[in-house]
Amino acid sequence: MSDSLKSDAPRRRASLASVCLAVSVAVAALWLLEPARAVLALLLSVWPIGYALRVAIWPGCSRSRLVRASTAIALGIANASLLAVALGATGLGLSRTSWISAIGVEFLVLTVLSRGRTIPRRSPSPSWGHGLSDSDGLMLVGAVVGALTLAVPLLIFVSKAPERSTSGATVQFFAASPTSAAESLAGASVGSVHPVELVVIRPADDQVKYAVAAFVNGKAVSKWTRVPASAKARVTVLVRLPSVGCPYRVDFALASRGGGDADRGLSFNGPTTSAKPCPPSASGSVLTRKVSSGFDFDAFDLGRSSA
Amino acid sequence: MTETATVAADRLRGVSRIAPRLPLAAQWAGCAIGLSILLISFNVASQQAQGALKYHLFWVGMACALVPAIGVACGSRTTNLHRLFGLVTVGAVLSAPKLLLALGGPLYHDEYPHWREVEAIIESGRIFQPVSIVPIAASFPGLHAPTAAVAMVSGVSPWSAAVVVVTTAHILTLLGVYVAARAVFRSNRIAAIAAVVYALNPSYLYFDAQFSYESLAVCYFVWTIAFVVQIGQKSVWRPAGLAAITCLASVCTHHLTTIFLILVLGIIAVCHTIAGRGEDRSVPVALWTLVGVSAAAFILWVTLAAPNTYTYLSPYFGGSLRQLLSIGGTGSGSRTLYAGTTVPQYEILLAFLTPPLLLILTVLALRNAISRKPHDPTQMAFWVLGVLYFISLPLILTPLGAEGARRSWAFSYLGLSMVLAPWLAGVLTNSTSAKRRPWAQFAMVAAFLVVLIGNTSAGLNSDYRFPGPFRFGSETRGITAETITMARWLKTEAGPGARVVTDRFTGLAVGSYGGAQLAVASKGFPIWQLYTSATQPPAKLVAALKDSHYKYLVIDKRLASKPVLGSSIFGNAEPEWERDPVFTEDSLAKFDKLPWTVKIYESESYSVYRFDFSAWRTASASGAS
Repeated sequence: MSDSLKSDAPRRRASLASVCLAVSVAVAALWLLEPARAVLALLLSVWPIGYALRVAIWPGCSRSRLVRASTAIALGIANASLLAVALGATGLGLSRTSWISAIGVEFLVLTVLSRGRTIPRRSPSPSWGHGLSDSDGLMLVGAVVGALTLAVPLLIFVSKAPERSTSGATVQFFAASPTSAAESLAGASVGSVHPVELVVIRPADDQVKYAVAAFVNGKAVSKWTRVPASAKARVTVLVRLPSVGCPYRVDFALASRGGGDADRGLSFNGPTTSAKPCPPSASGSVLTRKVSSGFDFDAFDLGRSSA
Repeated sequence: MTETATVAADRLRGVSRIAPRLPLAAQWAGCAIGLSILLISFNVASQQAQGALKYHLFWVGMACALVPAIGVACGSRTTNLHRLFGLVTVGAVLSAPKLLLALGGPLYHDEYPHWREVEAIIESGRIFQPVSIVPIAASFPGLHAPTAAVAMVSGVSPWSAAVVVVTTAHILTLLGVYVAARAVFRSNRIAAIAAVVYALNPSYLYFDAQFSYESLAVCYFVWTIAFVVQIGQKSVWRPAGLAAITCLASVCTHHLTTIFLILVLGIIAVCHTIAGRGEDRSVPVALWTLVGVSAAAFILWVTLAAPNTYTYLSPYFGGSLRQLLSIGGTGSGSRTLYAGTTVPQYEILLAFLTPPLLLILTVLALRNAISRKPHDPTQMAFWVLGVLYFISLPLILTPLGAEGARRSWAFSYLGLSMVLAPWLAGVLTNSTSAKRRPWAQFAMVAAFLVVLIGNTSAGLNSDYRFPGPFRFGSETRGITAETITMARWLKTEAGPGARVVTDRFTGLAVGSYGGAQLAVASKGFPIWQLYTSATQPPAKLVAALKDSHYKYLVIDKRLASKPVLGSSIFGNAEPEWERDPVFTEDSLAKFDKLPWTVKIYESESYSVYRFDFSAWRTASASGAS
């Protein structure tokens, strides 16, 4: 290497470090802005991997940095399609955790694979610094961006913490339809057991256990029934109707184990068990409301009758 | 010629590598002024549906924004950095109208199911979630899955993630054409001209800017070709490896694009096999391997993951050919172009002028190409691809073929751009006279604008191009806040995946915002009979609804009072209606009285009913007795 390049090396290293720092600060700042976040999430998800893919497969694809950069983004998007489809099709599921982990693992594998690959040069033109080729230098930036790709969402992920309770929009709770739940109780006689199908939609990677139970006028009329661990779980609650007046109100409550709370109840005006039946769901309205009051969810035991 | 040699040749010609600052400043100013005028045109359009002012303003705005950017991209004194920046600006300006039209949510027909699919993937963590409106979309999750990932990682709404993904792909497509042309012609300027010519294709401005699986797949198509044309230049198998990645991504993203991609790869492979004398033998081997891998992957995908692909596509292929033969034989069954249109006369004129203009330019380029020897097999392949554009033109006259022809232009224009770009660059460069050169540049930019206006006008109607007041029966202007509120209420009431019967226009919102599974009308499942019957719908239809577990019926009460302007209400299977409005108020109000339809929601324009088939059984039993 020529003397001039050697003497330039510390300055170039310093400028590279400045670039990395500036990129890090910019990423952190822009992450806070809603529209920029999506752009950053896309670029951070595709560029490092696309870059690493290009270097691993074809390091000398072009001498133009801009062409190489756009090639990396195109490859990164293609990789994102394949990776996301692969995650969504397998048992892993497509979630924030699985996506970040998959990108991280892929990036590390590709970085190892592309070690030592440099862009062929015809002349010792200035590069990123002493002993660093364009490939190595950009790989270094790629590593920083890749680390940010992992770190920033992870920080957000950790700061928010996995949602332990069923509150928020991440868990939805339905009767298969609430009105059909009312229908399924319409012909029920006092003391008989009737199945009511409910649907719980939850994040795929949610490890929290859920259970549902039915209540008539505040009194438990079913066992707590475990919700299967699936993104869209169907659970059948066996309801034993008590002797009550007409009309009565049926609540279905969803509880989370370990969450210490439960909300999202499903209520409707139920059918009657008197001799002359009221029409099912006569009011036609289905109420979604909090039902946490009156139930001690900290003490409930999955599978044990609360009645 | 190598890249270094190109630079040296530029220097010998005295071309400055330092971009003048004036064009860059003009590019910024042009963008700002042009986009402002564009916003004014949208504002005018949203207030008055009729009138040609919005069109005039739109094109003035686009010209202001595009001409300086094209000048920078295609100029002879531009540095690589500024050239690429000019191209990115062209891509961004051509993304802007669609972006501004649908900032808040889906707007085009195809956007609703794709957006819903992203939401369903986020909700479930799994791909292949069933989706209404365009059911096959669920079988090709190459767009939805990464969009869902971006939304999940960034925490933004699925629609924001969708806009970012599709706009990035849209701009990246132009850069892909640039990379491909640069590899073929070894000239940055020709490459930039090729990219600009490609951007003029009828789909680029609006159709390929929508959130649809095709928009991303076209990006993969272009980039696969960009890698393929580099096979045998510096390496054989390395670019083939990169091409395989984008090709596989295309396979899981869009059916039609993958078919075209395999076709184009086949054409390139054939040209290299026949005409590739003197080149490395491994080049055709690599190309045929790529064709084989792509075809095998696609067959595997449609067999295992998307078995309904053949059923979905076959009517378009077979039907369009039959319709074309019918027009040729009897002259019957053809489409009337621009029937009932409101676009200004100059747009129609330019739309009809564009194909002959392109044909003349192509013939001139062909004459120029023939005189040059030896012929590059890759360029020969692009000639074949470019000619496909002219072959597809007659299909625009057939109802089924028009759709396919329009879709094919996003691919055949790649061939046209590769064919025309070197000739156009030659015309500009060979205009040695200082007096003639500006005129040549002016003529080229004018031709670009003519083709852009003509192609855009031929591609989409006014409803898809401009915002506007509510119009019943319009796919883009027929969905209101009331529709969305009703659809969201239904999702809360019934949960996602509820089976719902409704018309095609309401179905866009109910199938997406409502997450419902919609009934698909067919001859064997004539759901329009629910609406047309004066009293009880046919028992056979009700039994079919019951057996298929349909739970809800959503009625748009305006179907009895407002005409739907010739659009189908339930899909292609419905009969020819004798009157418009098709239905009477009585035929829609009967559901209030039928014992087996329980009204559970009502707003000014919508009624939602729940089917109670037990009451139908009782009623029909008592009727029978």
